[in-house]
Amino acid sequence: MAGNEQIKSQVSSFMDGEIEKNEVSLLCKRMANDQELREQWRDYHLIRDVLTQQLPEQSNVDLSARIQDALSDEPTFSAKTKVASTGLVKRFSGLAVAASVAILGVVVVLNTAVQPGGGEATILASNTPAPETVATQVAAVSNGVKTDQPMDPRLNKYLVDHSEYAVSASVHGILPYARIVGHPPVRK
Amino acid sequence: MSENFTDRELVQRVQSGDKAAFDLLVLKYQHKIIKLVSRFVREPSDALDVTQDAFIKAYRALPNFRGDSAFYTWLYRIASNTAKNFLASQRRRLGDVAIDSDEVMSREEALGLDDVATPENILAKDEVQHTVFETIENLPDDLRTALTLREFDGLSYEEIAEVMECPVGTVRSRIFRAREAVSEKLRALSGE
Repeated sequence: MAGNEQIKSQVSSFMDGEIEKNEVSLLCKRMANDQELREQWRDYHLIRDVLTQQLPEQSNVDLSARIQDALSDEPTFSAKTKVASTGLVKRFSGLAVAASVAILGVVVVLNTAVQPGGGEATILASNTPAPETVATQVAAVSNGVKTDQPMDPRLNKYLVDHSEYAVSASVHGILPYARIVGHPPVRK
Repeated sequence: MSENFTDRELVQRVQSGDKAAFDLLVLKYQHKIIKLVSRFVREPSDALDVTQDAFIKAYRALPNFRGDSAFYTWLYRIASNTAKNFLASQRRRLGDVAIDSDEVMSREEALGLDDVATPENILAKDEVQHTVFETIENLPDDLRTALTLREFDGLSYEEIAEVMECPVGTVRSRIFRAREAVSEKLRALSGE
């Protein structure tokens, strides 16, 4: 088979996916620069379209020149285009996963805190009156931290007011079950 | 190997910067896409514009095409969406109430409005079809059998070689010669 015939035969095999992978690159380059090979490619597909009844009514139309013109201002992709975009996507998806896990963690902790059998917080809740009333109590709990600083008596009032507001404003979470910690009254 | 191999190779080439490879995809699929779009868009010149638009959208979206589906399936989706959007915008322009584009399509199909067949188009299409079938019919048996097993039955070269009891190289050559014979007649028809 003469050289040109051999290349044309490759075009035929390529449309059937029957050429070696390492032959594709050279063939595509040749087809890009050889109008005759492109017409051959077009005609072979026209034949296929006829045989598979895919020929439209406008069978004599060739849109490739129009589309080529329209794409002339479009950027040419590079391997980087794909890598860059996938890298960006990967980076953001990593962040999204991390954020999701963090949010999930917070939700789980909060749910565990308010669910029956949920551990320490449940014990606290069951030992205390209803959430509405607990907020009005000020537990003077000492956790062993001792301070010699004199306490401002307004602080207790502030804590009580704040807890009342928080409960009445339906702030969800563990606040309704939490003890409000104040300081022991100053004995004179 | 299959046609998917061809598409994958061409898509990868476009994604790596070979714009000319996209042209080969256009030449390969333009008729199928025009036929698809013409089912939605009645006016032939609109159908061609929408087809062009679909290919341009496909080109722009190609960097994100990962090959999870076949290229044609992906292109088909782009083209049908482009056609539906065109219909919807056309309806809006005409002041029609928003109608689901699927509904529009089925209604137009039911009315036979999707027919883009003008006398010239019918004649041209008939001539092409006639030339292809007649030439294939007059081909020597071995060429005709090889080509039809490939195009109608979708057999691989290896399978055809088995059926025809000949080497794969012979199948390759027979299919090529058959296509060349038909192609030559088509070129004569179009005066190229």
